[in-house]
Amino acid sequence: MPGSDALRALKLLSRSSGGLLSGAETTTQRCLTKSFSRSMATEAQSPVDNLTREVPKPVWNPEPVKATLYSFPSMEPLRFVEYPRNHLLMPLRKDILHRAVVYEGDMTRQGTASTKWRDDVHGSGRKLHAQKGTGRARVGDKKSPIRRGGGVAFGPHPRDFSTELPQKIYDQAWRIALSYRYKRGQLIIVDNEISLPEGATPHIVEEIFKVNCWGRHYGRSTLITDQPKEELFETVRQVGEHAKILDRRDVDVKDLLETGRLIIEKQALDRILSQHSKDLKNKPAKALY
Amino acid sequence: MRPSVRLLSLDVQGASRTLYVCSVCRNEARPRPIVARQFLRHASNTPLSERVRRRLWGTDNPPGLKDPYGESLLEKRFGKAKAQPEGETEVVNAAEAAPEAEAIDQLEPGVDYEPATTWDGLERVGHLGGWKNVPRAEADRVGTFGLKKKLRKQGPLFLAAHQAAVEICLMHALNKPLTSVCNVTEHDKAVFKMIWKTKIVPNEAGSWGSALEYHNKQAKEALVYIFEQIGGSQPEAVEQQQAAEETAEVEEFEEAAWEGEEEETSKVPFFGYQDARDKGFLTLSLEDQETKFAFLKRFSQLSGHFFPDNIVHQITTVKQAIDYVQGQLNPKPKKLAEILEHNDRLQSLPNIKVFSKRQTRLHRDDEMGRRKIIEAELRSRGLLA
Repeated sequence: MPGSDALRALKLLSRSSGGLLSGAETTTQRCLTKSFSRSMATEAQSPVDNLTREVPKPVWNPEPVKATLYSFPSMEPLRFVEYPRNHLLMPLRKDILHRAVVYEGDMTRQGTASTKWRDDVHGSGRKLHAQKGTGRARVGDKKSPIRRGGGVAFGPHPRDFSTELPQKIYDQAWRIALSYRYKRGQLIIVDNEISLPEGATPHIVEEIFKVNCWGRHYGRSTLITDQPKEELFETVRQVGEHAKILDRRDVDVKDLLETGRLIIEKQALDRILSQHSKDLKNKPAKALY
Repeated sequence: MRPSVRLLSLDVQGASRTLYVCSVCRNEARPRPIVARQFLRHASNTPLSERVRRRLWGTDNPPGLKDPYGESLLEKRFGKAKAQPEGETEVVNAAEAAPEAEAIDQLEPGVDYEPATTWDGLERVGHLGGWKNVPRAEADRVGTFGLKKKLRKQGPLFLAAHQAAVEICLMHALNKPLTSVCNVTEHDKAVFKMIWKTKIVPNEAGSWGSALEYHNKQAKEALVYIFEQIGGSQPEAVEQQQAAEETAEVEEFEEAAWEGEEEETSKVPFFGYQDARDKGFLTLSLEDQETKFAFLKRFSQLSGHFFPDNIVHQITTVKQAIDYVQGQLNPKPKKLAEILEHNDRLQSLPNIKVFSKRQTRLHRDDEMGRRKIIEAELRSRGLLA
């Protein structure tokens, strides 16, 4: 009978020591014995300690991050601004930063190295001399890879080196990089636009960097503007030993991590943060009936 | 040695050979033998046609015209190149001489011309191309918020912090916008003195408005009047005559302060005052965000120090702000040797010496004063180069 067979099988399972049904019980027993077992020489720890330890209270509304806004050339503090903790106070994850930097590096590889295989080399396919009778080694045509002027065997060919990185991880990397800067006090947010007076020479940039201790001696600094400004960029690039300037579209995670500090326009920072918080905005999928 | 080269040195074989000289150098140093002259034919100054004539006549002074054959083909090709520079040099000499002569002519009578030996004081013609060689433009002036030269000593730092604290306490008491104290970069000496004399006694409630203890009533009234103005609104009706007189005085101070702002900041910071009078301000709380911002802004303006965001977040009292600045000024030594060297307890122990570098036998010999003797002995035995 099929019914009695099934019952017998169930009994067998329940009787065996590591059986399916007794799994939960045995594991609990094992855990208990492990925690209470001790050698004779050790002092007994009262289990009450564990119970009386204070349970950390969950914080549901953490305080937002406060950052100072400055006006650009004078660097006068203007006010505090607030940012969410998951924008500027992300815990440091070097692995994510590493993946992002590698991803960007792969993405920007040109990949145009190109060589010619024996078929691509210009020339005749004529056999250089007869197969037999010359006393010399047998040869094919002059485009063979073992001959000078011949093709290249297994040489590089144009290809795409880019690798993949999930968008959520890449977005996190941006915020982690900015948070890292913030936590080290190297994120200087400028309220107005970064600009120089008309007719200014690179002397002014050098002076600003000297007064604020941003120069080469202090690890250089990156200026990030929201929009590219040709004149400003030209002026700052002449002081390249101290400063690096980029517009928002040109910035990568690697740039955020490269120099000693970032001096960034608030608008640029806000846009970068909003563009790279897709993983935060994501809502869990809802079933639609 | 190549055979041809060996041939050249045939006639000078008998030279002394006291020291070994390599063959190449020997050859170069020796006088050229006559055999080599045939290769140097074109090096002679006499033209080819003249030499042919001499050969034909068999004498050094052949009769007849100087150059009976005219210019030869070889002369045309090679001879001109030699002749031309001579002419050129004459021209150049003439050209060099001419401006000097002109310059001397142009000089006023009684002024001696002295040719310059260095470029100092000479007019520069053209520039070297880089922006660093171009002088600063008018637009290159940077107006900085804080002091360009940071305060480094403890006394001035305390003075700056005390001044900032008193000003913000006053603004709290007057209920004015706190950050407006930054509009006046530097007060007049009299005003500063009043601020300096004002004490701060933090109360338990931690309020800044009621923490001030003025030197006297007049100082209080004057300070209140000044900071009413700095706060942005005119003071309320002044009733008493005495008060009116005071205001006149104060206005004078105020004007002086504004004028001073335009000029360069005074050479001596804080008018020569060295330290704050009392340290009560150190315990003032900076928990309130607005107060913290105003205090740090004013303090950084007066001291020239910058507070990064992460530090601003951590600071809760005035003392912490000063401690941070002092920590920046005196960073902790990175090497253990430096820490141990400055450890008084270790230095005072009789049986311990601390060195920043590993001590070798050489150092020990040096210390004992026998290094020179050892070196001399080694040198005499040929063991030390």
